[in-house]
Amino acid sequence: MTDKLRVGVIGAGRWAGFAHLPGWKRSPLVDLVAVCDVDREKAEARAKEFSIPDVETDYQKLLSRRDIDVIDIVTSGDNHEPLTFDTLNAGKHCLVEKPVCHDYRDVWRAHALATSKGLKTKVGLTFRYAPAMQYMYSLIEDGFIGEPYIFNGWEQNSQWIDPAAPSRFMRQDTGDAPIKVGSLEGYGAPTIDISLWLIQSKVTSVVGILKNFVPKRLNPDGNWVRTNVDDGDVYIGEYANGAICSMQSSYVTVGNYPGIEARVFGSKGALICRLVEEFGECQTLKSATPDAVEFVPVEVPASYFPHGYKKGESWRSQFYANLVHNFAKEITDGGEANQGNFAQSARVQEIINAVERSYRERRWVDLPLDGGVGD
Amino acid sequence: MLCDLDRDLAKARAQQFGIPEIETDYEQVLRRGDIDVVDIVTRGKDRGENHQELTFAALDAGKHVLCEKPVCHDYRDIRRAHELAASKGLKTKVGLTFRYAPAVMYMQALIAEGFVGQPFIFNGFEQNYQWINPDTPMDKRAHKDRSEGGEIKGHDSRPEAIQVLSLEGYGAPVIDIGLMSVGSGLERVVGTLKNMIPYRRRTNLDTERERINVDDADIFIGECENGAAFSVQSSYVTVGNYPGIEARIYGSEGALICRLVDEFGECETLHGATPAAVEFVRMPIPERFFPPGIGPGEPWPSLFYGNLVHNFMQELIDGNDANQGNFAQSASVQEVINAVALSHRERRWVDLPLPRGD
Repeated sequence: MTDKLRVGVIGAGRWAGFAHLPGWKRSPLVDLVAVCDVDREKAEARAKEFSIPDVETDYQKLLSRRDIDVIDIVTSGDNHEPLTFDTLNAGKHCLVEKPVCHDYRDVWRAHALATSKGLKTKVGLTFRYAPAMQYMYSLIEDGFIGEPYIFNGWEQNSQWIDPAAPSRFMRQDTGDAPIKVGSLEGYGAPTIDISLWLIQSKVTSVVGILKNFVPKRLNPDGNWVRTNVDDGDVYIGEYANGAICSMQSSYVTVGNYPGIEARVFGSKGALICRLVEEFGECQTLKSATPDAVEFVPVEVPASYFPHGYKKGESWRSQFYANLVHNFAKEITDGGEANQGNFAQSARVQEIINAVERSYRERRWVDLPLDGGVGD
Repeated sequence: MLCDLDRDLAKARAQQFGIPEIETDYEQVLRRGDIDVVDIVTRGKDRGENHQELTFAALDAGKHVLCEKPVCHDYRDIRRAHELAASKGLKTKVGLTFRYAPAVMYMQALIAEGFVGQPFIFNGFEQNYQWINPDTPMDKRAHKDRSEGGEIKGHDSRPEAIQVLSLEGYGAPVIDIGLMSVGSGLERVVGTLKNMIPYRRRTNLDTERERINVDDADIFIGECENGAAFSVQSSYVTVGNYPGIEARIYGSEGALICRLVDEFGECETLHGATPAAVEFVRMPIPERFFPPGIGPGEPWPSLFYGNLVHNFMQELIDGNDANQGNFAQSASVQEVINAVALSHRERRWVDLPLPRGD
C-alpha cells in the first residue's frame, strides 16, 4: 500500500455523483475507500460506478474505521451540523457541503474543535477553486490591482424562474410568515467567500435587501402555495481596508450556470472573472490597467487546471476536482495552509446572518456580530 | 448664434461650425425674438455652478431649454424649473447623454415590448479611470493663475462630510437609465460614498497633493415601488474605458445587458437572454435607432449627443406631449442623488419622495 489519504464519503446523491466522487478519483493523493448512504442501493450503484471498495448505510460505522483519514459530507438533508461534529470528534479531517451550520457561531465552534484536534477542514465553496478564480487570486497576490477599491459579486441563474418548477428550497407553504433566507445562503455563499478572499480584508458593515420575486409556486402535490423565500437579494458592504463591495444573488434571474461573476477594481488594475457557461466556455478572466484600459482576455496557465483536465470539461467536475485535490494536498503537505476552511465558512455565514439582520431591521449592521465570537 | 464670455473662443467655434453670429452677453441672446431654443453648456467656476441661473433666465425669456447636468444641485430647484417651463408651454431637456445611445434606446424599445416581463433587478454602473492618477488635478482645466481655482471644497475629512461628486457627475445618467428601465420610482435608498484617493493635486498649478475629501466611488441600493431591486455604482477611479456605462435588467421573461464602453473600436453592445435560451447573445441594433446621417463607427460623444439633440428637435416639431429626459426626469434623478447623499451622512435608509419642505 501507499501512503495515500483514505477517504470515505457520506451521501451518494446527484452532487456526489457529478462533483465529489469523480474529483476524489482524479486526485493522485487519494484512495476512495468507502461510500455511505441511508439508501443502500444508491450507495451500491455509486460504488460500482466509481469502483469504491466498501459500502455503508450507517455513518457511525464509517466514522469508527481507523483506516479512514478524511470524511466528505455531501448529504442533501439538513444534517450537516451533527455529521460534522461527529466526524471531527472521530478525529477525521472533514470536507462538508455548505451550509455547515445555519448559525455562524456553530461554524466557529466546529472550527475550534477541528483546530484543537489538529484536523483540517474544508467547505464546498466550489467556485474559488475554478482555475480562472485561482489565477485571479494569484494575480492579486502579485499586486496586479494594487490597493483594492471595489468588489462586485454576482451569483445568479434561472434555475427556478419558472413558478411551476419544483424547488428544493421551498416546497412548504410559508403562508404570511416573514421572508426566509434562501438564495443568499444557498447561492450567495461561494461569492461572499470570494469577496473576502480576493479583497483580503474583513467586512465591517453591511446593508441589504431580500426579495421574493416569485411569490407562488407549484408544490409536488400539484397545489400552488405561497412561498415567501428570498429568491433574489443584493447588499452593499464596507471593508476594514477602505474598499467597498456589492453582492447579488438570485435563482430567478435569466442566465446560465453557474452564474458567478467577480470584479475587482484597484489603484493599479482591474480583473473580471466570469464563471458562466456560454457557448462552450465556462470561465473567462479579463484584465485592464490604467495604461491599457480596454479589458483583454487573460489566459489561465495550465498548472491551474486539475489532473486529467481536457478542454471543454464541465465546470461541475472541473472545479470540484481542484477543490478535493487542494484539500488532499493541504493534508498531505502538513503545513498551515487550509484555504476555504470552517473559519472562512464561519466568516461567510456571519455575513449572511448580518445581511439578514440588516434587512429585518432595515439598517446597516456592523461586524463582527455579537461582540465577536470568532477570530 | 453662439455665446461665450471669451469672445475669441466663441469666434473660433463659430468659424469651426459655420455659425453666423456670436455674442458674449447671454442676456442679448435671450432677448432675441427669433431664437426658439437655448442650449446651456457652460462650465462655471466649479462644476457648472451657473446652470441654474441661466436655466431660469432662459425659461423666463420663453425659450425651450436644453441644459447640461446638473441643472441645479437641489432637486427641488429643478422641479421649480420644470413647473416654470410647463406653465409656459416650453419643453426642456437635460444632458442625460447615455439614454440616447442607440443601444440604450433599443433596450428601452425591447423593454416596452415586454422582453423582460416583470422587472426584478436593475444593476447600473458608470465608471472609468479619468482620475485614477492622484497627480491628475481635481480641476483639470489649465489655469494660468491661482485666482481662477477657487471653489473646490473637500477640506473636511470626516467620512460623513464627504463632498458629493462622482454620484452626481457620473451616477446621474445611469440612475436615469435605471428609473426608465424599471419603469417605476424608487421607494427607498441606502448607499455609501467613498474617497478612495484621499490626496490629490488641486489644480495644474499645484505641485503637492492635498487632502480633498470628495466622493470618487459610491454604491447604493434601492427598492422600487413595483417591487424591483436596484443598485447603482459610480466611480472615476476605477480602471476601464469611457464612457463606462453598464445597465443590466433581469425580469420574469428575459434579461438585457447594455454596455457603453469603448473597447477595440466598439462603443456600445446589447446582449439578451431568455429563460428558454439562457446564454446571452449579442443583439444587433437596428438602423432606426441611429441619428440621421450617422451610423456605426461614429465616436460615442457625437453619436449619442447627435441622438439627444435630434430627439429634442423632433419633440419640439411634433408638438405633442412627448418630452423624454426633461427637467421632471432630471429632478427625479437629482432627488435620488440627494437621498443617497443623505443616507450616507446619516447612515440609514432614506425613504422617497423626500419631504416636500420648501
